[in-house]
Amino acid sequence: MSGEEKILEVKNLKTYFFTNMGVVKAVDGGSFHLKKGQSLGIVGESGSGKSVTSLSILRLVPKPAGRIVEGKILYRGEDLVKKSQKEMRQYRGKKLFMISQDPMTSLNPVFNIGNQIGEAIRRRQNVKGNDLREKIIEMLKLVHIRSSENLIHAYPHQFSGGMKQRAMISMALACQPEILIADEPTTALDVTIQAQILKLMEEIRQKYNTSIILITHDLGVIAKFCEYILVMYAGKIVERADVKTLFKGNKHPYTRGLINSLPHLGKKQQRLSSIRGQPPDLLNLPAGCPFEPRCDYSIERCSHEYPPTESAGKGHLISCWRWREI
Amino acid sequence: MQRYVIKRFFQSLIVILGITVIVFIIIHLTGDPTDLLLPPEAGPEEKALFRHELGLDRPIYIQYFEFIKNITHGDFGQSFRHQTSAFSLIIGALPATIELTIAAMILSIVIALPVGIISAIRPRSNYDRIGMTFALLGQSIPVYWAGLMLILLFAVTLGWLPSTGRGGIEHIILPAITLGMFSTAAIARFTRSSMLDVLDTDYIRTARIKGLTEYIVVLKHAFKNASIPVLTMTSLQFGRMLSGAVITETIFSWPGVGRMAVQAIYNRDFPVVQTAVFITSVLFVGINFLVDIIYTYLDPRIKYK
Amino acid sequence: MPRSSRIWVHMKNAPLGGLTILFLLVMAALFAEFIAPHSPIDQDITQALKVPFFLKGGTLSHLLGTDELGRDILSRIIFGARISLVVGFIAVAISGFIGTCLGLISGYFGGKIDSIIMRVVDVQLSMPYILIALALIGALGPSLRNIIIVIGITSWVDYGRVIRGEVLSVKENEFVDLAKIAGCSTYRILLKHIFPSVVNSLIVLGTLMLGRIIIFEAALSFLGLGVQPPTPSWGIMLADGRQYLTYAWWLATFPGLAIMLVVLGTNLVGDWLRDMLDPRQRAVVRGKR
Repeated sequence: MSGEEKILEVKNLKTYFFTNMGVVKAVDGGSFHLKKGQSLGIVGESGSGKSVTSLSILRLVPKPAGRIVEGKILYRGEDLVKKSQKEMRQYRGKKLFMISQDPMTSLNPVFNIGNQIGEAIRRRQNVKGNDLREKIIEMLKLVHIRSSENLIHAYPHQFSGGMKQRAMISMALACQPEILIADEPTTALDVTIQAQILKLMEEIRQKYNTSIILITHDLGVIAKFCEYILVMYAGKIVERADVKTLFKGNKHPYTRGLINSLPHLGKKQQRLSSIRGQPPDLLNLPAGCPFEPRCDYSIERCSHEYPPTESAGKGHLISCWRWREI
Repeated sequence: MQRYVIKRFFQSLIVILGITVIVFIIIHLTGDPTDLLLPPEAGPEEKALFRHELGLDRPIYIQYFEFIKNITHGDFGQSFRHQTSAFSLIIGALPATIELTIAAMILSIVIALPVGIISAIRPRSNYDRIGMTFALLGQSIPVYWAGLMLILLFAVTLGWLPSTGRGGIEHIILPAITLGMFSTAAIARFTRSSMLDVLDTDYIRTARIKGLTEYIVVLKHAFKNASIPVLTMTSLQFGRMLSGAVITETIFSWPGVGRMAVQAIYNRDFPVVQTAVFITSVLFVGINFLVDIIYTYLDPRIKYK
Repeated sequence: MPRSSRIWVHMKNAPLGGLTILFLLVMAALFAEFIAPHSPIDQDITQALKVPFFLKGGTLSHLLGTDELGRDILSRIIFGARISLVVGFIAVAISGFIGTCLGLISGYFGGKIDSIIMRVVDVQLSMPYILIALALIGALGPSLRNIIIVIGITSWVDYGRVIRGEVLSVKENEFVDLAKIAGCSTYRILLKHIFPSVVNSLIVLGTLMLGRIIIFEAALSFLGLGVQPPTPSWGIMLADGRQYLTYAWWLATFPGLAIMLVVLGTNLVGDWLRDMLDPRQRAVVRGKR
């Protein structure tokens, strides 16, 4: 469904956090692009850098510890890294939007829903009074929230988790962004609600041709939703491919480990397979490939030299010394 | 909402009841006023008669009920020294204290809120460091010393402002600054930390994601949330100020309840002291009650608890 | 992050100024007789109202000048440290003890006892503490012993509430349940399991309260209701200084400066201890992982 137009190009993004205890290289040289109307997934464990990537795109990396030290983020040719916060406000809420992980905390508790969605609407149009109220109701309808006068004046704490997330999506819709980033949008919700939210997001993508970057650690969600996927580990994008190739033809040991650790329905397993070892200590990363300590395919070279990114054809890129043999 | 207000009202009444108990205990610690009030040559029968008249020979709980009954009629006894009702004396001095406290509170808030907010927006900047250093000093300076130093500077050395008495604006400035110093510092520090906590939340990030101007993010979204704990703190400061007023009024000869209470102690005029304690405490309880009501307008979550 | 390096980070940030001030305070209080150049109560009218040494007419033998009775200000300040510290420590101990006991009981047992104790706290907090102190001193008579008691009684509420809060959160921990299952008596649980978790807050609070109590004592002495002359208390010196403010500013300025520095010290050290010991209030490095 996605066109061929590249609307976002991230080149060699490096976002580091400078703390009392050392430097955390949250994103270390990530490059990828996003096409119009495409659904891109970023998958990885906690600490892999996926959230920081999205914050970097929006230039909302927490200061003063965090900083984009290198790289370009080209949105339709404009480098967002070079923009001031004031300039970024022209993009946020109009061209770019993000839904966060925890709907419980993403809405301001002291303002009612109508007020908060109204703010989003007014970013695009100067409407007031009754017109504004009608627009708010319209937005809520788009996310299947049957709204009434009472609902608009209701406060976030009166909503369920699923409703809150839908309210966030409604806010996103009001902004009509070209790129919508969804950071773990379903993690905090029940499985049944998850499906609703994903369906809603897919509707939006189809209807408005919005590009969606979906960030998650849940492979099931990725499989259902995304066309193209990036796999991140310890700040590096270790493999990227379209969804089919990633699941059936992956070539990076980490990806393989992830896919294999999914329990299979209908197939008897003696034990659940998992990736051995500990998650990486981001303050003390090894010189070479960060996955090396846990990798069953590692060779001498892996521990002191990071592999280059090579292509296996048709947009399938891997960073591993031994991908051809895997 | 109404249920909440009624509930808080009754809670306040219970607190006031508790206050009467404590005041009653204090009265009894003061001891038997018979020897104070009667001339020294009075014999034992006269003393016994006097005690009987005052009701001092009855059991404690009856005395307590009498006490409560009298209070509800505004009868706190006669001032030993001035031969008028203690209640009327204190009520007479109350407006001066209220005026001073309000002036100090306004001054505090007007200075502390912006200082705290700006410090929070630019943490660790020079502005923040200087602001918070002053705040730390402000919380370390004792009220009495501040008052004396201000008098030394502005009244004695420079001669710009008077050092005593109540009158126009020039009379209230120094006492208000003195009284408000600690609160300004405390509120500034607390506003800063409250704002920092709020600015770190997800919903503020959402506001930024929407592309709202920093002005709106800070003043509308952040401050409304941060102001809730600051309000609690401010009402606590008010209580602290009522204490501080005692000393400030003494130093500046400000004719308020505090100064009256101190004079009364020197004169061993206990009914006045006790009345002062009671009235100021009830005032504080009243303020807290009002603040609680204001809360319900600020924080929508309260109504549904 | 290993515990040892965490402690080191805190040690690096130790407030040297604050610690120095407190150290000097303790030294002055303990060794006043050896440090002070003169006796604090010897009067010498011929030396009355001498200016501090850095002004014209001042001498080195009275570095900070003398008061109206010819007593050396510096020596009185040094001896005054003893009064402040004695009242400070004992009152902190009394209020800490009452507050901790009631806080532990209130937090651990909950229910009716908790309600009653919290009501008492509410009532006491609604009453301006200086007025209660005034009234009590009026009733009991001013003396060193009495102000220690009065200050102790009025200050316990701060401890009570904080300790109760700590207990409430610790109470839910598993090791408490385990202790109960193992059959520990309530007393033992409170003492050996809950109290240690609470100690940190106690230390922080004690340090901060020390400053406030020193101010409180000086306030009462300033009003003439505390320590009685000729004992040198900083508060009394301020009261004297007030009378001579127009022509002998040094009488009031230096004692007050001493109080301010001491309280600054306790605040700095208290804040530092809080950062180090009270994990919930410790400043977190801001930034996502």
